Amino acid sequence: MKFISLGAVLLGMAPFCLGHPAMTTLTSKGAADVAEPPTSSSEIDELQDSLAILKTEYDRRISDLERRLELAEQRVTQTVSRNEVIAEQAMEALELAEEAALAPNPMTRSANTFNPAIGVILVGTVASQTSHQDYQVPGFSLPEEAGPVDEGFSLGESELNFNANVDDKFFANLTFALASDDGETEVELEEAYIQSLAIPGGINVTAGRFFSGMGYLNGFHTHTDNFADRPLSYEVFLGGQYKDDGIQVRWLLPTQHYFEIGGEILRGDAFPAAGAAHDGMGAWSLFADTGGDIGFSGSWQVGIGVLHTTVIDRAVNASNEESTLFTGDSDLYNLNFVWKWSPNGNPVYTNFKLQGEYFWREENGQLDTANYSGDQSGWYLQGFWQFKPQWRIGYRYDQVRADNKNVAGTSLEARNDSTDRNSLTLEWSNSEFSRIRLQLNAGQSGLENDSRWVLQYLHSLGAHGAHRF
Amino acid sequence: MSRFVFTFVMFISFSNNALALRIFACEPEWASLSKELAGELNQIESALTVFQDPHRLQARPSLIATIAKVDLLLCSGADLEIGWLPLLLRRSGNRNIQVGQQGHFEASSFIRRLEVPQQLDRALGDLHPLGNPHVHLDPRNIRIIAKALTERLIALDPDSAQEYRHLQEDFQHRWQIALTRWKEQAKTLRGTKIVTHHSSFSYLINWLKMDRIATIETKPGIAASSAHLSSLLNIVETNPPRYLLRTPYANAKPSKWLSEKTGLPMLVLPYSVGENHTAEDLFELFDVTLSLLLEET
Repeated sequence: MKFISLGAVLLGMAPFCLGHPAMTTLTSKGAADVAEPPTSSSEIDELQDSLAILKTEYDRRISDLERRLELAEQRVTQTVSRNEVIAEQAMEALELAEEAALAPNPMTRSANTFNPAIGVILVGTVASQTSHQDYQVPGFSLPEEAGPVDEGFSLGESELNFNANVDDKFFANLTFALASDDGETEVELEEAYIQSLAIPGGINVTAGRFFSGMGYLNGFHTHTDNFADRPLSYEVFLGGQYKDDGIQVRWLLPTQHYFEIGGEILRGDAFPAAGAAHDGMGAWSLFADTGGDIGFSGSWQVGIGVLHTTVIDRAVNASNEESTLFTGDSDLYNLNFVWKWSPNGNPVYTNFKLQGEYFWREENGQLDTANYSGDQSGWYLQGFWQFKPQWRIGYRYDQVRADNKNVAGTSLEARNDSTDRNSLTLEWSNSEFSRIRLQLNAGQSGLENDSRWVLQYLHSLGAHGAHRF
Repeated sequence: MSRFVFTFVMFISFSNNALALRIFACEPEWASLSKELAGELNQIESALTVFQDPHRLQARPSLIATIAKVDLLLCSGADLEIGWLPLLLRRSGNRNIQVGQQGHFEASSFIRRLEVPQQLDRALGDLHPLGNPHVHLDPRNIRIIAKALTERLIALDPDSAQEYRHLQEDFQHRWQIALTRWKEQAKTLRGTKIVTHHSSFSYLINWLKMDRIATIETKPGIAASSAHLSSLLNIVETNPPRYLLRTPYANAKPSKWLSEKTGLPMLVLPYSVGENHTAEDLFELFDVTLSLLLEET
């Protein structure tokens, strides 16, 4: 600023120096003095006077200029600071406007907001098989609902699911299955349960009708399966899926590692139980699961379980078309594991799943009036690979075997070493919500070789709940 | 190497403050924000890594065990985690973090969400009825969410209120400086034409005022079909964008194909943060994003 003000002073002086009459006089007089030296003292006095006048005038002009400059400077400073203030205010206003624009928009709620989440699963199949005798697995008695997909065109189970939090402490879920049976549409109550959300200490209670926690696959809805049919061991030991009315308690241990144990008391009406023994508490189960991660890409889970059922009059189909009835105890044991892998733990584009279960069952009691003891086992191992975002391929090997005593003439008679089956499936999903699958099975029905193919769609409408691990 | 260690979650255990909150972030960007606002006081874990798609996570056993013990759950919300979080919440039996509790914090509920669909029909793809949930890619949103998060931390842990307020002030100050710098840097990006893989970058695009001319996915959540790719090729050739953008977790194949066909550069933006990732915290997230975008111009 100093530099500028000095410059301004010099500039201000320039017109003054050039245009001032006294200065002009001085210049001309000075020139004359040089030519002829002053002759008298009065002339010198005169010259001194005019110099004094000039000096005064000059001082006045300088201070005047300095004052004006100071004023101008003040004005400039004021303007600059005012502009700064305006700019700042504008910026603030802009930011406020932007923040206002970023204020949350309301989560759109409509009149049906409090309706439960509704999900619909539509399944349809077309299938063909080489064996045309009634489906049998030697050494086992299959319940009515078990067995492979019907030949020709058919609708599988269409599912209708409702679920929602009841309040801050309970969750509820209801699932209907609509199935066709000989031209009739049957409505089956698959699940109807409430579940606690707020019991401290990692306790989780479920009451109502639910899929038993025993066995890995048992807890899943069939539409989430990787194959069109359940493994043979599920068909023969649990009728495809074991669900019953009762209560389940799970405890998630407060450990760093995942460890959960659970138990159930159930009515004992559904296969493999029958007759709702012990005043409607005819079955119980215990199970435990643990699991963890292997690096970023892999996760695993291992489980064990036992299901004890008291059976009253469970029909066993005799080969002569007449049913015999089984009454006694049935104990089923299960070991299961699953391992999932995807690059960096991102399963969206490619992933692999390996899963296997082993079952072992002991039954003791009466077959009609004869003593009977059964010893049966089965296992499966399956791999399922999503090799492209929309394509998946899977292979499964199944085996069951039975060694039953005193069962000649009934379907419990094991007429072979074991029954096994190979299945291959290919799936295409346009989105998460639609799947089309082609499956090939090579196995047996009774003692006959039986090859089948199934083409199936599984589509999901509406709310689609999260899947278990 | 550390990625192969048993650390699917970023487990950061700070000083020995026994009263500290345990914070569980669904996405790594929120773990990073928590570290800024509560780091020294708390244990913070993240469900996802930056290489995992937040829409689709396996409800793994390890997550159930972890989530059962946390005090604060911090997620994007707006249904981003609908495919896995509700199940984890139910399985965890943890009362404190259920929907509606103080321990349940949804970042997207504090800001203006973009792309709220006018029409809900899955023929339009896997829509988010509550709008685009990838809200962290606008740094102005971070500022707002940070304020809300500090309020929540104070509500849950009033004893440390002073520290939380201090951390908040410090963060806001640094963020404001960074934001001014980013604004200056980003001026030249205004109006830049781009193609993205999914709508994951909508907030970034909106902030930078860039112009998205197409997405590589046929519809949200529906993989690119060959028909869609060939129409995309057409669009891109007649109206060339400056580059193709994708997240680290998005399928590389379709954008690679398009990039090779057209010679357009394909940029993998950090999208989020993580150890050994191009961006390790939220500041780097925007620094790296901008420098990548500016490099190619």
